[in-house]
Amino acid sequence: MNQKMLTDPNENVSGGNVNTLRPQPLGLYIHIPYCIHKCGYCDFNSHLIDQGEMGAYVDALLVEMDHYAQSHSSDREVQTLFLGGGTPTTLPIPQLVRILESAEKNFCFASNSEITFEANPATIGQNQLKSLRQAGYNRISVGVQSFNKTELTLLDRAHGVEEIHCTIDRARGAGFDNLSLDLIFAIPGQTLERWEDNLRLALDKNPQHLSTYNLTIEPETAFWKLQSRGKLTMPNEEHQLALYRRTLEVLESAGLRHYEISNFARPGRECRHNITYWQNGNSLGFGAGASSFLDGTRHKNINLPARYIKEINKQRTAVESQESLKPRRAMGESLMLGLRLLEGISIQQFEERFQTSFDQAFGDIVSSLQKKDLVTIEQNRLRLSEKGLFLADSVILEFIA
Amino acid sequence: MNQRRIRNFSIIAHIDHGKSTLADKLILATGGLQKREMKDQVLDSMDLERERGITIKAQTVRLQYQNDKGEKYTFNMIDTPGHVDFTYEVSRSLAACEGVLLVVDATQGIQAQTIANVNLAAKNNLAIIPVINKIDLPSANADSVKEQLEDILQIESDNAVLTSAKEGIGIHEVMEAVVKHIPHPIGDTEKPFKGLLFDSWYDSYRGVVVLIRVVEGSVQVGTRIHFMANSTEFVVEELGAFTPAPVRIQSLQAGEVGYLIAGIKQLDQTKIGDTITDASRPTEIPLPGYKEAKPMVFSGMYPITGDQYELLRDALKKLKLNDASFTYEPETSQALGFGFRCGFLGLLHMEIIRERLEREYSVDLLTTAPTVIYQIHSVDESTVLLDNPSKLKEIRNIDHMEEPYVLGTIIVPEEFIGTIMVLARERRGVQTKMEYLNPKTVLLQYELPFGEIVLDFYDQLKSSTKGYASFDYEFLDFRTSNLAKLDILLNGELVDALSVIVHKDKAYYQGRELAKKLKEKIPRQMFEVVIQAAIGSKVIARESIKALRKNVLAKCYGGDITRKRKLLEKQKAGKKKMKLVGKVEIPQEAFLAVLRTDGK
Ligand SMILES: Nc1nc2c(ncn2[C@@H]2O[C@H](COP(=O)(O)OP(=O)(O)OP(=O)(O)O)[C@@H](O)[C@H]2O)c(=O)[nH]1
Ligand code: SF4
Ligand SMILES: [Mg+2]
Repeated sequence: MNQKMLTDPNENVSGGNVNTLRPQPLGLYIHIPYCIHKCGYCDFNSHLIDQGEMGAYVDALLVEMDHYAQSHSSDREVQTLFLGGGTPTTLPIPQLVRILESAEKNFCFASNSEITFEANPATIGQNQLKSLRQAGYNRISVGVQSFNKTELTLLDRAHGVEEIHCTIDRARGAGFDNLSLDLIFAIPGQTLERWEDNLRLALDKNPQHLSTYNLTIEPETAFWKLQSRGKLTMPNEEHQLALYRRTLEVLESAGLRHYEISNFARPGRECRHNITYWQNGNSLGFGAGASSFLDGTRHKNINLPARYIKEINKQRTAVESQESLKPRRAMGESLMLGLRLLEGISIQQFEERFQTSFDQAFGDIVSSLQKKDLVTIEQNRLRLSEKGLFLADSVILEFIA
Repeated sequence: MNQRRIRNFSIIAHIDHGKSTLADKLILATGGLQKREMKDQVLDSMDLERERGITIKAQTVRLQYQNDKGEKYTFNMIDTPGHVDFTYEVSRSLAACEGVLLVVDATQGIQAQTIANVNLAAKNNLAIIPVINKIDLPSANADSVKEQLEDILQIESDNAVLTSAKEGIGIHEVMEAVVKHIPHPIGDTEKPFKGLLFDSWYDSYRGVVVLIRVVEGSVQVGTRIHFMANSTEFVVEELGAFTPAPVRIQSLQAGEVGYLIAGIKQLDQTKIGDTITDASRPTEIPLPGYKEAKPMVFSGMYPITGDQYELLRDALKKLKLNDASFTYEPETSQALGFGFRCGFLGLLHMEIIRERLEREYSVDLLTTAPTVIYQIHSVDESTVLLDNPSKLKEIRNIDHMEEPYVLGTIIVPEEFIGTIMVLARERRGVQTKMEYLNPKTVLLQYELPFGEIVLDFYDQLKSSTKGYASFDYEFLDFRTSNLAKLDILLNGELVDALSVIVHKDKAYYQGRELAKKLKEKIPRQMFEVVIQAAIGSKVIARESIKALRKNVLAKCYGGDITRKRKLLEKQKAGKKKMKLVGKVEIPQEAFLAVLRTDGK
């Protein structure tokens, strides 16, 4: 791992700079909870497309946006917008354009804002991509998951290999120069070679950003049921670790920078939207199941689209739960998120945020973790060591209240 | 009070046959409580009793009954627990009675504790009224129960009352039978006061409350009383009866049952079974009393964090005030630090104490595997009682060791005889009796080492007989055995709190099992953990828990944050409950792993 790159001062990844240069930044997240099909491993808030409902859903989104804009738009500047899902491209393109227009009308956007949408292969054509680019979307994240036919079948994805190439090439053709690809590793049966093939095929597309997610089997997914019936066996831990290590080697030597546990980017092309989450920054989420975090309070919307629509129509909001954490738990949360970034957390910022001495609160924990070679403190930043990276959850657990 | 109008009786039965429910209905029928004041098993007043649906502590109630002829009777009714750990509660209750209601579940028939309880009643020469309960259930078979009563227990079944305590059927008949078949007390009211102390507990407002059965004479408020065994004296401040609400009475006379408060500050100033008499006019011969219930099962209780030691000590002290049958004394473990060695009547008793400590006193506890008590004989003929396996090394010049034996009674459908025989043999049991109770049901008796059954025998018995077997045991004696201490080492260091005493013939098997179980129970750490089982310096089993190499959530953003944090917080809560032994974090389950090694 190249430590030097991680602390490159020119990077605005370093949370502090972002915050001080641009006061009151805000991220917007918009959730489109529809997919043409439910993948076997999926535990996102996604539901099968429902043409009768989707129009009303977008209307509800706009109402919700309008509602929050009234109280939160004046003193904040939107740095990023992320249209995620589900599969946003299950909506008609004019609707996606309408959503962005409405957001721009309601909120004040920074001139260099990052505006991402997620697209799944086989859900979008060349002209449509062009329309989105023209409308102002400037980043596309393609849910590739795998370039291997067998793996795509195993993952129960709705697209084939050809469609992946096609979608990516079209995106390039439509003028998306900020392209991100999602891949999944530790798929049952996946050898190191096959994973490396996947990585190489992804690199061939010259992406600005790559997310590589370790497959996990979440409760209540189709995979969960298969696993509990003994019909699906995850690769063992050693193999998963080897796959992860290989990922770092291959991607870093290709010039991508490992900046978060599962994320890699060309310098300067880190996903600014997700960095907001990891730095526990302010964000507003619209749509079914979306979460917002504003000045220490997080709220989450109702998951089910139909209920979301109903609530919005009734009272312009659809909040299901809300929490504002007491300082100790909030600190744990900040560390849980911040330590995922390879640059770690700025101790000074942490102390400013929580008005407390970091050393007093966590000094003992840190020094015991340092002894075990799991974290480092350099330039007043706490971060995971290489060993700690692979054991991030165990390390983070130490900081949890 | 006219003794002819008094009936003193206990309700006894196998566990869950419906004693407390019957008690409810008797309280209702006699107006002891109104319907709106009633709840199911109203006498089971402890939280734990209510949650588990079992009776732990016997309860005494005085009821007023007016029969069909208009005659008024006073019933002193004692609802007893059915679980074998609390047999002692039954036996002391019976000493205050002239009769019993023997409840038998009409769907289950006679079970092991039914027999044990009938034997107790017979020993006390009590009248027995069989009550065949749960006749509302479709599978009820009252006729077969009647046959069993006759054949197995030699009890006249003509007098049996058929009831559904749940539905309130047959309650009137029960009360009539009590009047008719249970003898009234006969005690000379003119003689000096002689009372049996059959229960006592600590009330934080009133101090010690004593339950007495007046055998002869009478006692008044203001009487100076003498406790014969303890040789202490107190002045009676209050007398009364529970109806179930406490009602004050000026005096208690021969034949009556009631409570007594006399400014007694500590529970250990009263001894169950003691004879109380008038200090100025004492009785000459004390009552025979009965043997104290001695703890037979021991385990270490340690606070998870050292700073809770004082809290634990105070909690134990307070609990002891209410439960004389458990004992505790300080002990130190190299692995666990400062804690207490506690003695219990059985495993359920231990679980109950543990739960009460945790919830009523908020102590985070670590309990070591329960052990029975051993007698260690030295060459110089001195004997030491060993209640903690790790202390064995401190005893010099051991000549031989003895372990406690019990007589176990199992009642089971005939088809399971083979299963039981195998199971008993695995537990080093020797069959002493096999008797067909009827063509389909068999009674088996075994002499078994208590150590073999105390942990999981009952569970295994139940599961291998589809739940049909019932089991009861009583202590026999101590017998010489070929025993050894099995030690557990974690990363080369002996963890004294994990040592157990095993029979040498089974040591290898148990060592392997225990190491395997520990491997399952100890979570992976960031370094390898080697588990070794050893006898003396000889390692007989080895397992290793591989170091955790990778533990990282793939993704975590947006809506996930709360969920992931809560997940981690939950893990953390579990981690906080683990005990750090050396460098290794050990969860409570690991200390109890020995509970679930199947003895083969
Ligand atoms: N159907 C039916 N259920 C009954 C009857 N009597 C009691 N039960 C049920 O049997 C279970 C045990 O009843 P309890 O009264 O607690 O039994 P117990 O003998 O006091 O139990 P222990 O004190 O634990 O030995 C409860 O679920 C009662 O509701 C009855 O006549 N009919
Ligand atoms: S495309 Fe994504 S959101 Fe939709 S079902 Fe598949 S994994 Fe879930
Ligand atoms: Mg009961």
